[in-house]
Amino acid sequence: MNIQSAARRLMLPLLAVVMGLSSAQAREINLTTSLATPVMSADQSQKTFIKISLEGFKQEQSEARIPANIAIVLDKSGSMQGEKIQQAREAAIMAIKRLNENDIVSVVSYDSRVQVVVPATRVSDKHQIARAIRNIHANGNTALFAGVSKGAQELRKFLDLNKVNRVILLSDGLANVGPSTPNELGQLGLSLAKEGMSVTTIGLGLGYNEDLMTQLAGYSDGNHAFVENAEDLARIFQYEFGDVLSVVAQGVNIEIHCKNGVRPVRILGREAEIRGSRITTRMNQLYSEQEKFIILEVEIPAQSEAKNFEVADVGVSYTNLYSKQAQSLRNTVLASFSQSKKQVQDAVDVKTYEAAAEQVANEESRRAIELRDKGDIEAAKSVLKQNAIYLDNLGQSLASPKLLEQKAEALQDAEELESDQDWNKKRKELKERLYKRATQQSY
Amino acid sequence: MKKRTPILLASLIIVPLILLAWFGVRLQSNQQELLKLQLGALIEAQLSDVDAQMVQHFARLQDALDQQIDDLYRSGNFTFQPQAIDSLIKQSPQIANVFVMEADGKRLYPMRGSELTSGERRFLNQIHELLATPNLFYDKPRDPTLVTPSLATQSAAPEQYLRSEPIAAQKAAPPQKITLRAPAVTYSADIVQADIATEQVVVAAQPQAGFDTAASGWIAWYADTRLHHIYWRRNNEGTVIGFALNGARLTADLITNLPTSPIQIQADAPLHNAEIRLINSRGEQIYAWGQLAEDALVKSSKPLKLLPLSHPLGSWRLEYYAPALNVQGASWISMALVILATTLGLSVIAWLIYREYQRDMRLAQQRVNFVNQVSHELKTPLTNVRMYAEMLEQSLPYDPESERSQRYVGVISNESQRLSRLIDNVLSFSRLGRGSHTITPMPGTVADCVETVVEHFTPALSQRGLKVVYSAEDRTLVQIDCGALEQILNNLLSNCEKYAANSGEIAIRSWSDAGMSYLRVADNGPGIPKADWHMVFTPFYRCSNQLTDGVTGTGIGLGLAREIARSHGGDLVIESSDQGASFLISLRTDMPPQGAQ
Repeated sequence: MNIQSAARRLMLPLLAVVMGLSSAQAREINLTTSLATPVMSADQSQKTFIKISLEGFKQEQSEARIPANIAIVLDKSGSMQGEKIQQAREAAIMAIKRLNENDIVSVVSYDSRVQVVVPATRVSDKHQIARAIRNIHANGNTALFAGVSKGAQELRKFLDLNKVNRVILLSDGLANVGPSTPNELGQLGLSLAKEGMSVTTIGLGLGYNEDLMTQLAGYSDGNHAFVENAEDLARIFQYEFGDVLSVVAQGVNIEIHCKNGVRPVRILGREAEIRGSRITTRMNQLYSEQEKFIILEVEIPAQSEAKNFEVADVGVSYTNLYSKQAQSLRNTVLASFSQSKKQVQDAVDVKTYEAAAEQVANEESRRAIELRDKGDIEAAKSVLKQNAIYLDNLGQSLASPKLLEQKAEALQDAEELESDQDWNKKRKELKERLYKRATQQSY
Repeated sequence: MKKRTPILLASLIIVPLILLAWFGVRLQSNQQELLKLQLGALIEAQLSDVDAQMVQHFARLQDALDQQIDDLYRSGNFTFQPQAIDSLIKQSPQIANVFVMEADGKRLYPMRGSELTSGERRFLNQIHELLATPNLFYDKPRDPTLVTPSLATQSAAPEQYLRSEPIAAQKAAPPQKITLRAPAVTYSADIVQADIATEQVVVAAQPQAGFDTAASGWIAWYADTRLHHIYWRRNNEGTVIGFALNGARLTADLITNLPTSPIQIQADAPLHNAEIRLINSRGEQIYAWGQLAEDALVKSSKPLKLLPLSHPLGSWRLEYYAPALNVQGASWISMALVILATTLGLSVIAWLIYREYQRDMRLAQQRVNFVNQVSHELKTPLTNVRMYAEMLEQSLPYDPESERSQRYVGVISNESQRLSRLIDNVLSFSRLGRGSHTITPMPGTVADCVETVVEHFTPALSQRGLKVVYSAEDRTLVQIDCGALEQILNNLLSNCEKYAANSGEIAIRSWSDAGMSYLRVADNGPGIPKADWHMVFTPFYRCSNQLTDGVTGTGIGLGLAREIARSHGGDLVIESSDQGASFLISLRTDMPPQGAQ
């Protein structure tokens, strides 16, 4: 005890020095803005993509990790009986072992009712927490909405914008008690995001509603995963906790202001608000050394030959969890106009274009799912095939293996669309993949 | 007599048991009813508590929203700045949309003309009708929970809007504040306070100038099959600001305010073996808490109690589920035990009584046997006494010298005859009791029998100043048991001898009619009071008045006479007469001779 406290006393000034150094370096989020076609043909209106990329700075090994405030919400409805609940319990316990006493954890379980298994508490007695979790037995219905509500309430007890506040929801069934439409869950997610919480949704097996789960995760900027076999739960929980423990910035607000008559068309893959020429969107957090980006499609009016044409102003504000400061970044997207086709062709930003194409194709796949849901298999197929052609063309011209891979995927999806039996599983896979691609999820 | 006793004893057990059982059942059902009522009241109180919590939540929400309105108004120099509203929507978890409308119906926010976001367009679409009926924000609803549009001539407020006054200030201090605006990050490069996450909003506010507190309220309506809530407020210039709440968030907040369920069933926890459900306007379960076991849940498909929630959650309700009341199981068992114990106790008592009674019966029987035996033993010597007395009477010479002896012998003979009649009575009585008394009709005339008896009685009667006048109207041969008739007459005449001394004439008349022979015996004595008529035939009963005082008797005579008459197919009844007692004997005398009886 004495030795420990002595060691701590020694460590403290050391830490302060390190912290001082790091804040002196003023580590910031890396904001890069780029245009898919930096040089455009003059005298004609055209569409192009702006990529706004944000990358979290590196977490230093030596420095104290940002404390996490996690609520694990476990489905213990009847369908979870047997191996599923057992694996879920063990996965949760394993994951909690990675936390330390600066972190706060709570465990909520739900069937037709909601139980607070572990009220929000500091992770000091892991055995006791594990014991409580092992007490969860499955039966009953699925009151998912109430479970998430109560989980969020547990987070609120220690809600702190300098912590990573996250609900991790595990469900294997349809929400059949309480609000259950994807829209309602999305609204809840949106509301929680405004409080600085995000919800990660893990769908287990083939019984859950993937729309609901992706909406909830999407609106609150959490992760989403489809886990077919319960054995994989432990792995997914580890990934998720890895993500949670690597958050470096939170409350990221992005504001894009299109200039000079440039008209925003749409934001690909993410929720955003477009008001005239202003676009606002937000991310709940940025992870260490992970790139998150936004693709904005814009329409640029015809211009005569020019350089340094201002397309848009990008402003980003966020809370740096390490310096505990509100920081903001600003960037201007510039374009040139040229009559020369060659010049235009040569200037194409391959990486940006690739990312944009990836998202465009992603949106198309989403449309294909919608068509398939309506029962129009042929139309869905043809959308995916068009998609494949689009990806193929771009993949060839940009020499991008990534896009060609996506093209193969699209073709395979078109094949597998038909079977009614496998559609349930396929749809879950598709939804998960689309979600991950749209949000650049790390796992 | 022997059968009646066990029946009586059985009813001694059964009647109290039935009474006890009946009272028990009544008591039980009353108690159950009472319990049910108490439980009902308890449940209702519980549900009302929950309802109050909900109302309180809305009240807190309203406070927070009012505060926001004041802030918006003040920061915008007494106008609403769109940018401020924008940032409020962006930061508030509870508010989904806002609109501001001027008195003339002109929309200030979301801004006219300027580009709208898709969300705003959707919102305006939703509230289009609402904004088209500005009187929703003016006329006061008559009933806080109801809807009636008050101005029928103008564009009436559509029925689907449930309007209510602002929620009255709650007495209890709100346990938790609602932070409407999420802690904001200030966007400046300057170092801001490290602890940004402190509450920024709820500061005590005085009623704001420019706002009439009364001009506010809630509107709830359905769109897209969901309940939407708007809180609005109007300032003095008539500008209305309305907050549309995030419905999902509202539901989540309501759920958050409600208790969770225990992990394992705990006997002492509230809502043991019960569940409360929150049901929305579409009849869907929003939330449930309690600890009703899953199998009981299936069984109790009907709620024990229902409570509609107060406005603005007007169409929602609370349902209380619990298995049907059957707490009385234990008391039924105790009830049955009480009845069983009572049965046992009563049975023991009845058995004891029965045994006592049996012993008494045996004793009585022994006494009767003894009397019979004695009577029999007396009969033989008495016969000898009579016979020798008569023989002596006849052998005495007829001279004055022996007159005295003659008189003595006469007394002996008379008294012994009386004694033998008495013994005959006793023996007949016991035979009747045993049911072994038989009538043996023989051909004979009634008059002969009567004359024999009268002849026997004449000396004794004349000694007591009585005289029998017999008139026989009929001397036909009939089937008659002369001994039986003689015994009946013996009894009647010896009564006359005892009770009607010195009254002159005893009139006996006999006649026959339709196979029956009738005999009327009437004296001129004091008679029998009418009140005693029904009793005189009862064995061992003797009228008690000055008449019977000092007169000995067994008390079986008349009863025996009637029994004999009845067993002879007739009866013996008292007739009313002006003077003295009058008895009518009827006998059946057309019976076939001996054996057919």
